[in-house]
Order: sequence, then C-alpha cells, then structure tokens
Amino acid sequence: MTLIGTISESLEDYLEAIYQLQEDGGTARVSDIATARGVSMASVCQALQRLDRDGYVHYTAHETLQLTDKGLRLAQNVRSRHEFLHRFLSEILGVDEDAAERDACALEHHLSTETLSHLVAFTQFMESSPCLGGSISERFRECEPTGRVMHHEPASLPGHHRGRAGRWRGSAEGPTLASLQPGEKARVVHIHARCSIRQRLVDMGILPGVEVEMVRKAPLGDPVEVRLKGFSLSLRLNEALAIEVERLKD
Amino acid sequence: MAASASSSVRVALAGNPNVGKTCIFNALTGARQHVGNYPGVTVDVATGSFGLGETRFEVFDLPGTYSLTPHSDDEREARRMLIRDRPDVVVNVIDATNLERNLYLTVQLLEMGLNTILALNMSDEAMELGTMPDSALLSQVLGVPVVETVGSRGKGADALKRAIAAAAAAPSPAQRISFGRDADEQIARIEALLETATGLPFPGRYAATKLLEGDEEIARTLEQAVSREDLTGLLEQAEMAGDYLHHLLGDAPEVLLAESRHGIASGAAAEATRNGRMGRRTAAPSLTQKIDNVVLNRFFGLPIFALAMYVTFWLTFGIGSPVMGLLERVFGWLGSAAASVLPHGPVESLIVDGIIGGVGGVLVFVPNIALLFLAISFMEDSGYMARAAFLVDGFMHRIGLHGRSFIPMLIGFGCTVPAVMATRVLDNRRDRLTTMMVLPLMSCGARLPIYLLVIGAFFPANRALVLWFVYVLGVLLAVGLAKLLRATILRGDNTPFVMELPPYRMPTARSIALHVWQRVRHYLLKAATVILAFSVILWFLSYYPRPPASAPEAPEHASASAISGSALGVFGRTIEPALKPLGFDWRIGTALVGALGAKEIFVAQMGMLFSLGGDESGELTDRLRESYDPVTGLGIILFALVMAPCIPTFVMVRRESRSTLWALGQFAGLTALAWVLVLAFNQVARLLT
Repeated sequence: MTLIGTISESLEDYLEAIYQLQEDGGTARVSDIATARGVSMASVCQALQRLDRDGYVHYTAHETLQLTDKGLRLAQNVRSRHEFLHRFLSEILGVDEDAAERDACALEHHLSTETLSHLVAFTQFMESSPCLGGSISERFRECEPTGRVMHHEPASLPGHHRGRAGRWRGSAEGPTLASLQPGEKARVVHIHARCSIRQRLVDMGILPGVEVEMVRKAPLGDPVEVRLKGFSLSLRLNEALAIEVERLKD
Repeated sequence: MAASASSSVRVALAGNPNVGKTCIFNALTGARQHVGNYPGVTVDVATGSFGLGETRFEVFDLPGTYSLTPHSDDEREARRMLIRDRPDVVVNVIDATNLERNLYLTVQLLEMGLNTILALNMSDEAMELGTMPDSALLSQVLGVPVVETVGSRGKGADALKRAIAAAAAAPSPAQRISFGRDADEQIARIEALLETATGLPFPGRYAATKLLEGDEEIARTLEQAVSREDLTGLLEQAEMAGDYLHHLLGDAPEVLLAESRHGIASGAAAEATRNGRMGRRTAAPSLTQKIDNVVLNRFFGLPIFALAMYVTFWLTFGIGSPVMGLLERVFGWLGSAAASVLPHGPVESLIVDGIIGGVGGVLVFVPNIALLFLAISFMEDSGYMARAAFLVDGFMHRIGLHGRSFIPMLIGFGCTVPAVMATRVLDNRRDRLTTMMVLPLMSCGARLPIYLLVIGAFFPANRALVLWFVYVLGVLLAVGLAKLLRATILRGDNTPFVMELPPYRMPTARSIALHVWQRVRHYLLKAATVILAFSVILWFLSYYPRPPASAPEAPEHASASAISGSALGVFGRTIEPALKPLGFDWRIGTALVGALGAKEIFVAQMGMLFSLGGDESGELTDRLRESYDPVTGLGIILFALVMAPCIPTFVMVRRESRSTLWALGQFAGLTALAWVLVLAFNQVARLLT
C-alpha cells in the first residue's frame, strides 16, 4: 500500500465505502466494509488504523466507526469527484454505464487537482457557453464513433449541416428576447449571462420556462417592455439579447 | 420572542416596490412617524409607532425590494436590518393582484426564520379582477397568518394590528423551505458543520443556503459565530457542494435555488387562487395598458414626456420663484427693520447680513423643494416615473447615466440644491453618485446673473448665442465627466436595468403631502442648519478684520476697502498668483470665493469691490469693460460654470451621498477642472489674439 500524497488511493476508497455505509444504514462495521470492498477483515483493520492515525476516522476496536470531520470532508470530496467523472464520461463522452463507473473509480485517484479543475471548467464551458455550448456536445454525440446515432441517421448527414447553420444563426441573431417583435410571445429557454445579472433577472421572474410577451420597444429603440405573469418589466436590449427564447404560436 | 406587556414590539414592513407598503405604514402608524437616518444604513427608513392594549409597537418601513439578494443597495440594506435587528414581527405587504411574484420575497423571509404575517393588500383590485386568492388557504399553505387589507383606504388596519399583536405573542412555527432533494442534501451537509456556531442571528439552515449561494456578506456575519478553522471548513464544504450541484444540475447554485423559490411561490399562489388561474389578466387590455399605448407610444411618448418635464420644471421654478421672491423680500424687510433698531456695528452686521441673510438664504430653497417633490411624488406614486425612465433610458444609458437621472439633471438647470435631493429617484448608489457629481455643471439659475453681467459687458451683440453656448458646454462637460466617472472610480458591475412598469394608480393626496413634508423636513433639519452655519462663517470672513475706523473715505468706498481688507479679500490677494495665468485679478478671485455662499453673490461682490452701490449694474458693466477684456470675460463665465458648487450644494451632496469625501472630492475636483479649463482657454486665446 503505497501512499500517494497524503493518503493512498485505496484509503480514499475505504473512506468512500465508510461514507456510503454511514449514509445507507447509519453505522459502518468492519465486516460491512470488508464485504463492500471485497477484501479481508484484516486488511480493513489495517487500513482503519492508518486512517485513525491520520485523523480521518475514530477507530477503536469493537466500537462503531465514525468519520471525523476531516474524513467526512475528504470522503465527500472523493464522492463528488467520482460523481463528476462518472457524469463526464457517460454524458459528455457517451461512454457506457459500466465502463464509466469503472474508469471513474480509477481516474478519481490519479487525476491531479489541476487537471480535474480544468476538466470541470471545460465541462461547464461546453454546457453553458452561449454560442457553442449545447450545440457542440450535441453534435459530438451525433457524430460519435459508436455508431449509435449513425446507424439510424446516415441519410441525415446533410441535415447536420443545416442544423448546425441554424444553430449558429440562432446564437448570433436568432431567437433571443430582443429579436421578438411587439405582440410576439415566447418561452424563455436559457439565460446566457453572468451570474449576478442572471440572478437579478431570475429575481424578477425571468427564468427558463416562463412565458413572455414583447409589448413594445421604447421610442429610442432601447429599452424594451415585456409582459410576464401579469406584470410588465422594462429591460435593456443588452439583457434581452442574453435571454434565449423559443417563439410561441399565439 | 414573545413580548411582555411593558416592552415595545418591533415590527418591520417588507414588500415589493409599488405594493402600497407606505399606505399600510400610514394606516398603522397614523401621524406618529418620521424619516430618520437609520444607523449604518444608507437608505432612509421611516419609523413610527402605534399602541394596542398596553403594548407599543415600533414600526419601521424597509425599502421596497423584490428579493433579498445582496446585489442591490436597497436589498442589501433591507436584509442587514432584518438580520441585525431581528424584528419581533415582519409584516410582508403583498400585492394581491400579483401574488406569485410577491410571494418570492415571502419565501425568502420565511427562510430567514422571521416571524412573518402577510398583508394581502389591494384586495379590492384583486376582487375586481377576479384573481383574489383565498387568504385562509394561503395562510394554510405558507403556515403564516394572512390579513386582507386595502391600504389606500385604511381598510384592514385594525385586523392587521391585532394580527401583529397575536404574532408577537405567539410566533408561528418556523418553516422549512425545501429546494429539492439534491440541494437539500448539500445544504444539510453545510448546516451540519454549523452545529458549533453560537449566537447566529438567523437559522443555521439559512446560513447554509446562503453559503451555498456564495453570499459573502453572510460569510462575514458568520465570522463572529464560528471559529476561523470552522469557517474555512464551512466555506470549503460550501464550495464543494456548490460545484457538485453545478455539475449535477447544470447551473450555479444561486440560480438553482432562486428557481426553487419561484417554484414554491408559484405553487403557493396557484393553490391559493380560488379559480386556479394565476394573476394573468384577462384578454381585454387593462386601463394601464391603454394608458401605456398612448404614453409610451412611439410618436407621442417623447412629446408627452417633454410636457411632463416642462410641467415639473414650471411647477418648481415658475410657481416657486415668485414665492422665493416673496420670501426674499420678507427677509430683506426683516433685515432693514433689524438694521433700523440695532446700533450700527458688528452686531448689526452679524444679525442683518449674517443671520437674517443666512436664514433667508436657507429658506428660499423650501418652496422649490416642496414643489419639486410634489411633482416627483405624483410621478412616482402614479407609476409615471418608471415610464419616464423607460422613455429616455436609451439616450441616458449611452452617456453613462440612468433613465431616471433625467429629472435631477433637468432640475439642475433651476437649482442644484433640490436637484441633488431629486437624485433620490435613483436606486443604485453608483448612479446616484455619478448624477450628483455632474449636477453642478447644469447651469443653475443663480449663475445666470453672472453670465448676464459678463455677457452684457463684453458680448452685447451676441447675448443669446453666448448664453446658449455656455449652457450647452455645461451639458457636454457633464456628459463627459459622467462617462469618465463611470469608466474610472464609479466603474462597476453594470447592474441590469430590470425595472417594473407598475400599473397606474391614482396617488392619494395624503401620501403625496407626506412625501413633500418628509423632504422639506429633511432639508430643514439636516441641511439648513449646516448651510446657515457656513453662511455665518462666510459673513465673518468678509467682515473681519475691519479697516481702521478713521479711514477718511466716502461711504461708498468703505465697502470696497472693508471687503478688500477682510479675510476674504486677503485670501483673494493671496491666491492671485494662481489666478493670474487665468487672466483673473484678485478682485475676481475674491468675488468667486464669496460666490461660494450663493453664485449670484458674485455680482454683488464685484459691485462692492469696484466700490459701487447695490444695484447699479449698468455702471458695473462699464467698469468691467474698462478693467478686463473679452477673453477674461469668457474665462469668468467658464470658471463660474465649472467651479466648485455653492456651499448649500456642498452640504446637500454631503448629506445625500452620506460621504464627506465625495462632497469634498466634487468641490476640489470641479474647482481644479475649472482652473485647468480656464488656464488652457486663456493661454490659447492669448496666443491667438
């Protein structure tokens, strides 16, 4: 059992297992951990002694096991890393469930914090970037090499390009709140704005799923008046441009 | 938090803007109220009280807010007050015609564990619209008492008072707001780390929620309640939980939680609305929509706006000026009456010029302020103010200001003092400060006599053109300065201009009268005394030290030697080297310093310095022409336009910005700008001629 950094990968796995058991049933006994990890009870005891020495658990023989605060935090950290990686593998890359689970387990211990945080940032970028965002990951999945999509859509390849052009036009000038003509109604799809602005908009009731109607533009063209949920709001074009909508037929 | 019979119960009024909170406040407290500076708060908070049985209830009226996030000044202040003071009861005033949006704030109050009562206001309108929620059902859904009120007619006030007393005696049990399984789980993890915290001014779960949202202000509040290490652990846990939720649900936690709150508000509203139909008004356009079709019309909108602004200006100065003139005459008469009974000498001068003149100088602003706020209150209460901002924001935003800045800027052409007060129409501190800083560049009425004097002396053929040029130059400088301020010291998050256009409502005379009275009172108490003190000091400086009594001079020359020998005159001579490059001599310098009391004094002081009697401006014109050239004349005009604002403006800015630094900065900055501009102008003009 080699120690990498402050705690070895298998010790991290132990912490995770204890955490899982505590969450499921409340207490974690040595035998439970052994079963969960598929190792002998002796190995478990050995690991627990190390964890106790390093201050991650309270472990005295014949008593129930308790994660310390430090241990709890690390376990949760490991867990969320695991969950993120799993999600990244299965949802972004499209790896199948079992492989994603296995590889997430392996990766979670070996990725440096730096790589992980870049990966997180990349994922966020993919998911929320106003221009590329959804479209890239969607198209990636459409074109991915597993053939899952390809096999029923070989004929629609030109369609991809049409779709892509549509997307691009959409993000540049397309259906944002600002593009609505007075009298048109739409449903908010997404708000592409910094958090503080988004929160302000959300506070005022503009959030995904809400129906809005463009009432008028000010005589100088900016700001605009929109109606939602029975009241009127005035917003600047700048903010209206950040609100992606889908038009509704009246 | 049960209140014993003897102590007073503290009641806070919270609610969205335009829901009639002030009406409820008036109905509860009657005349016993005042607007005070609430300690540590940069917004005005009206406080009042009422009695019921043997208990006294202190009511304070929080700023109207849609939410309690720390992104806007008003919301931050309102939340601070709720956290720091822990009111015994919070009355959440709700617009019954717009339940869902109003309940969003309610959810946040409940999260804070506040002992909340809902006042379902404007219930008459909601009845008419057929969207009146079932208050019993609403009470059941939210677990808090609900009282129906019609604030504008004082209906429901007694029931509300009884409900407040009942809630103070027996607070309703705290509500647990759920944000969905994933978020709740993460919040619980953070909350678990807060077990050791002591003396938290809000529930641990609230703190956990806010930490998850990355609320720094709450994190700072926690510094007192938990140890350093625990706080670090908490913040780490919160960050981790936030990242986790972000990955899991694909959005920042503060947005996710806000969406949950909307969900709760929307659910509660739907459940409580009898006909199951939320406040979506019927297809027939409402009166508000009909009015807006005209008032915000692409063609009529701006002309109607111009008309409204004209009426405001005319009311403030057209009606105000004759009253001002009357006041001035009364004080002039008082002064001469005092002069006739008092023995000639320093005491006489102190009383006549210093005190009576000073008080008169302070009171002349009152008619302007009262009439201006009459107009502003009418526009605010009726709902037109938001439309006015909507109409001109496109233009104002481009020059770095807010649509609502238009009104103070316009008033600035009349008088800067009420204009500074009018910046209250702006909610955002940065907008307010920017507007306040550039206001003196709008040529006020008091500067007109200076312009007219100098233009009369040097440009009699082009009076209108030069005058027009001066006014336009002032506006251009104001625009430039506003842009500069916004790009430098007042830069910051561009707070989104998301503003409600509230339904039109007929303002009540009572609430307008109250607003006007509050502003006049505020001026008299907070600013007038300081202005008076300054004018006495200025008098002192222009009176002492006295020339020797034996000076064998003709009486009219006495005034010239008196002022030139006074501290002011000495000061004028001392700074002469700095003014020389501008083409000014010590007389202009002295008169400009003297004009700090009020700009029009410049003319009188120049008269005195040229040893002329009171109003012989014709002669003064000739003397100016003899002594100076047109370049210096334009220099004087330019300097008078840009230089430090008068003392009353300085005092007002200090009061309204609540910052001596900003007031001093404006004072020094504008003077420096004036100096540089006139220096450049003078040097270039002399080179060319």
